[in-house]
Amino acid sequence: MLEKIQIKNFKSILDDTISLGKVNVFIGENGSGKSNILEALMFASVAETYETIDADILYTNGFRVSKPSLILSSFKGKKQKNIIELNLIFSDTEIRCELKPHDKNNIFSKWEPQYSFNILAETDIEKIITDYTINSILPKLVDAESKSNISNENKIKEYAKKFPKKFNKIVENISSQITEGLGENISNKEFQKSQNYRNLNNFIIYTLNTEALRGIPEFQISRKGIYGETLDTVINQLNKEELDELKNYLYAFSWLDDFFIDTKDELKQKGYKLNHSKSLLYFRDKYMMVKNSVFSSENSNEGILHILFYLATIISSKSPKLFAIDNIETSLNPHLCQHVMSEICELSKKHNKQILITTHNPAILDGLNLFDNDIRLFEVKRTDNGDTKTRRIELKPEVKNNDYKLSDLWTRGFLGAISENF
Amino acid sequence: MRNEIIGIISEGVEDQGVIKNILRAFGFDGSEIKLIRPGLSKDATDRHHDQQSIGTIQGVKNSCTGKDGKRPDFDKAFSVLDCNNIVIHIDTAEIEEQDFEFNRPQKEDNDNYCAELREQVIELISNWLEYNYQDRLLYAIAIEEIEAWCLTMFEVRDTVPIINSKNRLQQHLNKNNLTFKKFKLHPTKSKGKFFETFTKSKKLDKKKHLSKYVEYNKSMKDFMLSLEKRFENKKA
Repeated sequence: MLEKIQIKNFKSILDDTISLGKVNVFIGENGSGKSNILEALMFASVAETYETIDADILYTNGFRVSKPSLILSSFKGKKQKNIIELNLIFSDTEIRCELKPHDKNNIFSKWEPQYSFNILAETDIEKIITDYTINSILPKLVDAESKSNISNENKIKEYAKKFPKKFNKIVENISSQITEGLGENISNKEFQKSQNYRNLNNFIIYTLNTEALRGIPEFQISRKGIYGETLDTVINQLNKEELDELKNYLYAFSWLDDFFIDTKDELKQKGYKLNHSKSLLYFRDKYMMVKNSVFSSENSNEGILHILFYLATIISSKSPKLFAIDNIETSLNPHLCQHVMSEICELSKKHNKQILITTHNPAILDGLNLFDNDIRLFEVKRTDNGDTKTRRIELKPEVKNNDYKLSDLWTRGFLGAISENF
Repeated sequence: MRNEIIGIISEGVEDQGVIKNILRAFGFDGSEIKLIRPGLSKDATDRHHDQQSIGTIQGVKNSCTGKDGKRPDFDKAFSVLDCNNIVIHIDTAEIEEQDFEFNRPQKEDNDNYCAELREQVIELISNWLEYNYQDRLLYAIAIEEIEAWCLTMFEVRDTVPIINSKNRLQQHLNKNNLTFKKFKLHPTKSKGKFFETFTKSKKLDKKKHLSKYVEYNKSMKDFMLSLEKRFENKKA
């Protein structure tokens, strides 16, 4: 898990350190620097992937590109430095990344990344493999069992007892994956490094766009599906257990009977959608006549597309372990915001996903349990000098029994993260 | 930065602007000072029916007395882990007009007028609060108006006795071209920011200057001393 990020000299962030949990929600005024935090992480991610980074790489990864002199922090009375420093501390490793532009006045300038890697605490290979095995098996357990309070080891034992064949198959798969890894003759150190690098390398900032979720080709512009254009693919790639788990959430939409992927794209020929959308995702309405109950994602409401994307991304074992969602509340009813946020917190633990989320909707906060150390809320603010600082918001233990909603605390100004100019 | 949060409950936004800079002189960053604004508990529909209690001494009293034994403005502010102090501001000018049972000390020939009045107002507030939160409160009691505190930045004399300090301050602001337009602020929507900006331009946020200004207003000095007592020993 990424435990800490230190960002220096990046856009509005002169020097800030953030200690992360599993689910991290960032709130702040418009322009406070929330998205800059996500972008800094994205910069580190692409820096790990490419030897040099150009504007196109940044843009297609959802980065707001400007000339380097504006990406490097630039504050009145301070000399501008020509280097961005990003320090990422994972559970057992530290990755230091430095980025320098070739020409800071040229928007098309390439950036030169320098990477260094430091093992903080060498973990023995046995523990890594055990953790890896547990984390690989847990997501495959059926929902009811995984939500219980018993230990991970016992969950696995129970599952093995109940479904011996399925369990053996899972173990075989994992075993072959590990053997494959060891076959590459990687050292303990390299194994650790590759785990963290893989998480960082796959980092994505999702900024969902309804047209992209509907599969409209004009919005298929990103490399990693950051606008949600891969929704049907993400769902289609879920295994049976994952799909069943996703379908547990049909209840969130009162009219929804089911959803499915028309893998052969046959319904298009039958007039269920115009030729605009490439999405193969369809829905079935429970109130309509059977013959008229199916409709395409091109015709669906926006909220369900967003919700399905978030849930499928967390549930899927093929999606990134570490990702961000910018403005999660888009298109969601307030009550749904609260409920989905709460489910996201649960699912992220179950599927071992680490998520950074920005929001402007107070209802999102009502889905957070701040007394759970894995769930963290941050105020992102500009100081008197104009630079961005992040403050973790925690509540005093004695307020546990009070009926104050976080949404109310936010809108009334008690948490900060609102404008005080009006 | 002090890495702690402090709240302000005040009569109006102008007062908050001034107090914010005084707190800056004690190491608080502006982002660490949270304005507790009763107005935020109301939406546009509520405000249509109740304009009177917002931004007045009545509003401060409402926050302090609370309802049904609960004081949400205080309880909510103190529920946040890093918030352990709240400043309560009151201008003494209109206390009686607000229909409070208040016996102001004699002003003429009374060297202790400011100290006595401050003590009486603190006692009044403590009564409203039923003596809750005492160790977490700071009192910005402006005698008679916070504009008298601002006058210390323009006049080298005791500003407490100045009658109609609001008009007097306006004259100084005009004379020094300290205007909304100069600071690029909205003339009616940004009054708080205006007070914050012009007092900052007079370096009220710097301890050295603040210490000089308070010599011309005893009530301002008392507030500063209470801040010194609370924060100087554990300065960030």
